[in-house]
Amino acid sequence: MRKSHNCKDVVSQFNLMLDGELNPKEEQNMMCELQRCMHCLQEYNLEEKYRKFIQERVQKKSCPSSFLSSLKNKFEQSKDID
Amino acid sequence: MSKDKLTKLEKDKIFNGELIPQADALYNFAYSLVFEEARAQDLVQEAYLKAYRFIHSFEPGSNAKAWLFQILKNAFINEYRKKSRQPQKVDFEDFKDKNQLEKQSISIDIEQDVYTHMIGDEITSALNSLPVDFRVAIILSDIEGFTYEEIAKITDIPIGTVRSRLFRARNLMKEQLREYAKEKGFKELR
Repeated sequence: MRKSHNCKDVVSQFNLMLDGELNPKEEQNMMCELQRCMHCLQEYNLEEKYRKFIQERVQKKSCPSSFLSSLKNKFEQSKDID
Repeated sequence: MSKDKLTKLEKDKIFNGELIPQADALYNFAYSLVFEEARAQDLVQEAYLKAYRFIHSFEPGSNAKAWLFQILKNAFINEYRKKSRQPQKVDFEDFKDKNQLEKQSISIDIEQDVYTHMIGDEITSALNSLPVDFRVAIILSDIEGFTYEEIAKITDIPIGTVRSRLFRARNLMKEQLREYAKEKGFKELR
């Protein structure tokens, strides 16, 4: 018998799916579950877009090139780092 | 070949081939912990120094990024211990029942005009305003793409805690974005 739909459980599960923590079978079940409830599907779509938004818009600091060069030099020249 | 007796050439090969390519991600992580370029550089240098010293314990081809992040995070904790200051701790009890953070996932529609007009600076500020443990959870998962298992190792907490911390961190982040959006929307209306 099919388990009854619980929106709270589905939200928690699709977060795991978006984090890559479900196996393919669990993912497949999740996708079926999402098709059963418009509310859950909408929430899933919003969460997916939100994750992409954060990925794309949060600015990343790059390692300053002068610092990286001097760091590499230190290791290349040093014979004592053991 | 005994891994304890790697030659300098072998060590340098691993170091330059597998560890140095992670410098940008490592520096970004360090900066997000301390918000100062000089201190971020100190942390990165210390992490690389330790990695080089213990390079025999690193399996070439394995997860260099997670290994370095773990070393850097430990260096960060030690830096605070030395200064007899504790890193900003999050008392999770404080967050219980506030804004339903504990109970319910918060969703925001980032396609609304006010969010799409947000610039990277504002979004980064929203992230940086979170307590360090939550900020780190979002960076490790949503920015760097580490698995729960890797995050648990890097931050030295159980996997179940990773999951609940991420849940709360994302809710807090969405709350912050809403606040920024409200402010921005208000300004645009004037």
